[in-house]
Amino acid sequence: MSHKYISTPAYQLVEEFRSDPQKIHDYVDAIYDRIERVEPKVRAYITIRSRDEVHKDVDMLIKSGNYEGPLFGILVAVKDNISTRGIRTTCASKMLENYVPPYDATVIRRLKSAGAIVLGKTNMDEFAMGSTTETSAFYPTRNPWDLSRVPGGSSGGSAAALVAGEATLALGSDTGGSIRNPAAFTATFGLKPTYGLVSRYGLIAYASSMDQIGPLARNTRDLALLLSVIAGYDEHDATSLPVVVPNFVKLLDEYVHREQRLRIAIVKELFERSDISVQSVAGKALDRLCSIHECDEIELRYTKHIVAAYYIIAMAEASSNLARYDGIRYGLKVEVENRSWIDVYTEVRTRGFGYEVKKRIALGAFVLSAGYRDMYYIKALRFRRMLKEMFNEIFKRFDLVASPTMPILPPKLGELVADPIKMYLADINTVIANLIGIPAISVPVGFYNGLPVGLQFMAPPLAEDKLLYVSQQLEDMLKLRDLIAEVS
Amino acid sequence: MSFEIPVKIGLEIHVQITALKTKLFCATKADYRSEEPNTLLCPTCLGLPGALPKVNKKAIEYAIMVAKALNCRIAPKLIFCRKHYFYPDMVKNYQISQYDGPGSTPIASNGFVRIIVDGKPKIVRIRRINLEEDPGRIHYPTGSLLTSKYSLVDYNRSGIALLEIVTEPDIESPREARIFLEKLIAILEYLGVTDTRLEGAFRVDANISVADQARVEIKNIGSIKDVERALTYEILRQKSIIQKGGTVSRETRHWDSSSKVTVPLRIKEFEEDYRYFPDPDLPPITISKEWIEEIEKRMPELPDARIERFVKQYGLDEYRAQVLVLNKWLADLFEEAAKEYNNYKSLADWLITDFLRWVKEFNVDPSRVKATPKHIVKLLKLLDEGLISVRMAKELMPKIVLEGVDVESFVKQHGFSKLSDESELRRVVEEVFREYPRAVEDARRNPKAINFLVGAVMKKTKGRADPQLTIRIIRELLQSQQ
Amino acid sequence: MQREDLISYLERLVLVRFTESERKRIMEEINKILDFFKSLDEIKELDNYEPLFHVHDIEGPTREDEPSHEVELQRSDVMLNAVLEKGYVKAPRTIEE
Repeated sequence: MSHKYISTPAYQLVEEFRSDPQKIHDYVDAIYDRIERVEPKVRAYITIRSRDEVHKDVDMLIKSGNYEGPLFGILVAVKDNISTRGIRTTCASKMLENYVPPYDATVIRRLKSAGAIVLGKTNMDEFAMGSTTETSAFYPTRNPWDLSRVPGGSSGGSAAALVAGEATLALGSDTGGSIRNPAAFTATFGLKPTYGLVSRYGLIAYASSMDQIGPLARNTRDLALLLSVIAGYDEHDATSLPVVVPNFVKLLDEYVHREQRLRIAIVKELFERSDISVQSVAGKALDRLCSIHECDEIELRYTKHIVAAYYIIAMAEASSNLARYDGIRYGLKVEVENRSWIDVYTEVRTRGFGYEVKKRIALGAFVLSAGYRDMYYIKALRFRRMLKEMFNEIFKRFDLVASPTMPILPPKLGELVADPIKMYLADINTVIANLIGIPAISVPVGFYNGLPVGLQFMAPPLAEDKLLYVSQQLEDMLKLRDLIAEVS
Repeated sequence: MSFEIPVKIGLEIHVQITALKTKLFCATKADYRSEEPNTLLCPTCLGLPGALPKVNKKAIEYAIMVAKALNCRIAPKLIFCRKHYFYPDMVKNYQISQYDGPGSTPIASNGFVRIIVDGKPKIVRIRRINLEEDPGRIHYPTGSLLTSKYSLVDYNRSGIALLEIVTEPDIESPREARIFLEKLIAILEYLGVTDTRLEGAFRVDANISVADQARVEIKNIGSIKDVERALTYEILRQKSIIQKGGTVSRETRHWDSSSKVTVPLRIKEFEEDYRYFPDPDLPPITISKEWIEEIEKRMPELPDARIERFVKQYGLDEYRAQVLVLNKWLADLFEEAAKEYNNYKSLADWLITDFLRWVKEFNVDPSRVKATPKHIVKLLKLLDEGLISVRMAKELMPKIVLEGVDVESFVKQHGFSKLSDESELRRVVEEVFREYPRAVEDARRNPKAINFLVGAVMKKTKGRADPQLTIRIIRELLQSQQ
Repeated sequence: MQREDLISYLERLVLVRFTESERKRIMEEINKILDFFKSLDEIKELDNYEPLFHVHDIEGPTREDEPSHEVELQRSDVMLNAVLEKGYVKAPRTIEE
């Protein structure tokens, strides 16, 4: 499917708009027409800005005369846990249903100064706690390739919006795979940057030591373009890395030009643990890649434990980060007169949080509590160091580590949430990168019975350039780019 | 003599670093006292979703200064932790502080403060110092927690940099607690860290156990005077329980400053579990030896060193030196005056007795005292030259303190100088002799009775008469009239 | 701790309540999840590793003690989501009943 504007890559649109800025208005209308048609079925968004408002933004943008912004005129879908001044930011929770941030997240400021326009806020698992976008307090998002299936999560709305043609670029956040998982399930490209490469200022925290905002796109070059805009040191985020961020698009061209050979480690266990369908599609693509690079199988111990350690740390931090929601300064309001604060807080938090959130913060508080902390939390952190050292060793011999992004195909709605351990174990391939702060990418590599399969690559800290390079090569080989699902 | 029951007191002192321009974790202005409620806030100090903390470097430096001044060991890394508890004055329902446990440590520990009690030196050990954020302030519409249907919160104070200083239970009486706190406040004042006179800048919780019984915590004490009062009250309360054969239960009590009693807070069902863990938003900050040295270079002379110097340089005894030094502004005044006046002991005496008495009597803020070192020096010089009497000097002191009057011109204008003209004084004495013939008779028989006549002369001259000269003239007249 | 007691303890710890049906569900799940977490005990050499709190070994940055202009601009907006009474945020009673 290739309607004018709907599937056009951002890097091409920007060129077109620079020579004729009035075209941005036509583009906006095309996207809004598309949204009107498919959104009732997909439900990718929680909040969509009005067409008029966006047209006004376009007028202001054109008037500003700043045509040189790298995202000049591009409509971006933003996950609803990234603070947008004046646009409500709900985290897909009743708790924040009417919360309007008084400030922009750093990435939003960067988008705006790059000439991009925020189109709307996308659906997600409540407070990013989930892998399917089903724990949203409002409604689940459907996978545009098969409406009976989930789009993955927690950034499911962002990925679905892209592949349904409801935006050109999207931002997600990734704490344990929340960008890569929906990217794999929707045949889009998603990248989780090195921890600290993109500012977290304004990202509503789930697990602060692992959260990262990252780009989603329909091709590698757009992914690199968006990453270049959002990455960089931010004085508001003390965990922001003080590094000079390269122009990833230029770097990508250089790599492709040089045809550099990389050493790729293939994690045997992570392939073997995957469904046969996933193994076959991912394996075939990897074989083609290995014809130009040097590939070798490696073993990875403790795969199950990785997931346990991840969930202990994530829940512990979540219990702390979500303590602030008490309905007093913002968020869900209840009557306060003649009531004790414990009463009021308990009511607000009981009504404001869904089951999965309540469960995770309760367990998180438990693993931090006196008497259990060493048994769970501290142990998980010891494991984290061990894992980091294991990967330090691997990266002495390899440039990249490959595995399927998800061990399964996109499940039907309700299928995964029923069994929490099964759901948590589905994150096994993605959580490694978050636990140790390294970058990882998911690249679409094929379909199985019409359902997308993604391949994941991990790299050492700040080696995003290499991830983008293999992504571009796979894209060129497989021609799985700029895909738009029919939605029917 | 009553049998002394042993008392152990430990203090937990919260001091705002009022010298800072901004809050601890954000660039919001810190001077909240003159602002409308809830107007001095940003996403970070209001704990809005997504906002992140960033540490104020100056706050760390002040904490290091205090740690050094209290002879503490300073941690090589500053690690912030989250301390979790729900309460309406908390914006995140956790406080960013420090903690002694896995992955964390207080910024400073194992220090001590020297004090002098009844002339004897004593050490009060400092267990630890934490650098942390202050919560907001809760108000009650009716003025009372008990009768208000709801509460009103002002979050302007949220995020103000706070030092929590915790002592070992080395203090043995309420008076010792006061002496310790006076010393501590003096040290903080010398460092320029805090202005403890500002409302809420200085708050104390006290732990007290009597006769080795259970430890009782008293919360919310706002001044040194109240610490002494609260502890005295609490010792009496506990002693009377013990004397009746009861046992003191472990509890937390609240100091009610209006009724001057401690009242029990609810006894908690279970121990508070703060679930500390290192704040993932704040990577550890290295406190290098070089940094500490650089800060030490910037540190002013501290009370102990100054007391020692006063003893050496001015020949004062330790008591006088201490009284001066612990009132920094008074010690500063002393040193200025001492440049032009070298009877240091007399200068010190005048300052710590009459001068300080009037400052306290009028409750004058030391920064508003009108007297300059020059005023004091002039007064003492006039006294030395015999131009005014001690009594006149004493009478002039309040005018100097309050109005900063120039002694010399005041004396000239008001004829306030000492009456030492012999012929004039002789005329007054003769007048007194005529008025009190019986007293004259008495004085002839009993030399001690002369005092009445001297007093009468003083009264007539409004105290201006030179006492020595007056006595001589009276004696001469008594003899000549015999 | 009995599972039922554990749930009540957790409810009090984080100030939430589970409905009756949620209670049934969480009692089943919590066993599985905690057992799953316990699997870390199988790795004997873990004690040889120090806990890793921050993934990168970076020095925590600090900020100069200067008020920010940006903060000044936001001052009027930060309280828009609260219910105010004479400028104060209205909150429940602070006594524990």
